Amino acid sequence: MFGKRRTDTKAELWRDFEMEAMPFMADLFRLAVWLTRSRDEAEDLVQETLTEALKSFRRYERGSNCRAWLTAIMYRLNLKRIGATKRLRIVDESEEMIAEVVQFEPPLPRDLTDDEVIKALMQLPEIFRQVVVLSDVEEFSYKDIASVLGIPLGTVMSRLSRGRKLLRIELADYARECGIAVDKNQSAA
Amino acid sequence: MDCREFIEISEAYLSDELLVETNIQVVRHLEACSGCRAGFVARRTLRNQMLSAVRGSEEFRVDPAFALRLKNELQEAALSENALRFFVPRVFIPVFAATVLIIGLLGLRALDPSYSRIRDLLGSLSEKPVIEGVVEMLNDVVDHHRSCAIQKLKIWEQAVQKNPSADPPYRDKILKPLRTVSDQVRLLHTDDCIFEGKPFVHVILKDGETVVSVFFEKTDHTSDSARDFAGPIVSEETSGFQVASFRKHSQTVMVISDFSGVENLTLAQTLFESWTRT
Repeated sequence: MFGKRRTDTKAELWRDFEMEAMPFMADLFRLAVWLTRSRDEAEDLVQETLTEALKSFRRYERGSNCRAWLTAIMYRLNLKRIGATKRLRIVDESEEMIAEVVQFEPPLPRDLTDDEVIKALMQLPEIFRQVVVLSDVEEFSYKDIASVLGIPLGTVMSRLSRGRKLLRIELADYARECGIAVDKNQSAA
Repeated sequence: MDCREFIEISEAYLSDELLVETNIQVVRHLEACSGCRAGFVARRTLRNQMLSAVRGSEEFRVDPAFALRLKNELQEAALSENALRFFVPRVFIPVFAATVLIIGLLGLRALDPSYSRIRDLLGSLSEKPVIEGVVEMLNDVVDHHRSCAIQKLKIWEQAVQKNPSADPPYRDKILKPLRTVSDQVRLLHTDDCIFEGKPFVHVILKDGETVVSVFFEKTDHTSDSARDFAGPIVSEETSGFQVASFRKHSQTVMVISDFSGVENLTLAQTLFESWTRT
């Protein structure tokens, strides 16, 4: 009797996990590539994340935002993996300062290729890139991003704004170097 | 709403984070202001391009083989007895600690580079394959492993001790490949047996304290198609033993032990790879 119930519970747990968590493997992998910059390491990180999630799945509230929950696990594991939280914070401050002093923003170039956009995104400092990616590529809400990264909502908004601005500058610089046209009608918002 | 106000909330508007009422004011402003509209359209275009560029990029796309392998591995962990370690109640902490220690010791072994192929190994398993003829002989083979390998173990060990310098049979075929996985593997004895009317060679080995039997069918390679055939590896538990079996050429091969499923599979995989190369 006990054995049967235990088997059922495990089967149910796997069924729920397969239904709620497994569909996000592709999303996790995309983020893992951003975090690790390597497909092999990204696979390791995804594997670690889903294993950890499976272990903790009883604590997960069914029907809540599973993708955000998994992403939070992944970011936590990644921090542990690089073991550089402290070092990252020091970098954060200087990067925040750099973004603060960037005032002028040239108009956005037109006809950029996908590769050029990805390359420019890669060039962004980590703290801005992760917010831009979570918001604009993965379409997380501000609230979810704050939860995933463990930062206040206001910080998410300011980093996103600065990150997008830096990205536009990066692309404009690139366009200028390559002679790509810009739309003169854009305001410098 | 004027341009300054729009600029202040434009990022939130782009992220669709504004209240409906504010959205309406923004739309009205954009309809009236061509400068803000052009700037916003450019930003929205960039945002959309970012999304489609990354999602469409091969670099960011998960490898289907990896996804399948990981899913199988997780499913195995979730449904296996070992999965209980994830969910141990607080009152069982001492038992849990002991279990963790044992798992840790096994894990140390798994860290050995020769065991690093576990994931590949799991990946080489097909969904629910059946090797023709193996199911019927499974019980007999396990019985033979128990009666001939385990129960007579002391006899084979004493025989090897008496003549330690003898070159063991099947050294190159069995022992050499398995030594790449574990340097503790010793070949103790070989004998002949018949299952379902087919002649097999039974090779008895010991890896540490674990007895391992390798059974392989005695057969001639009668055709080119048979010579080319290999795999897949099938693993199952029978009467408390792990049995991993595969076919190479027209030969059925079975590896039996009371190792864990993955460790037993590792041995079978090693033989499979070694024999497939030859």
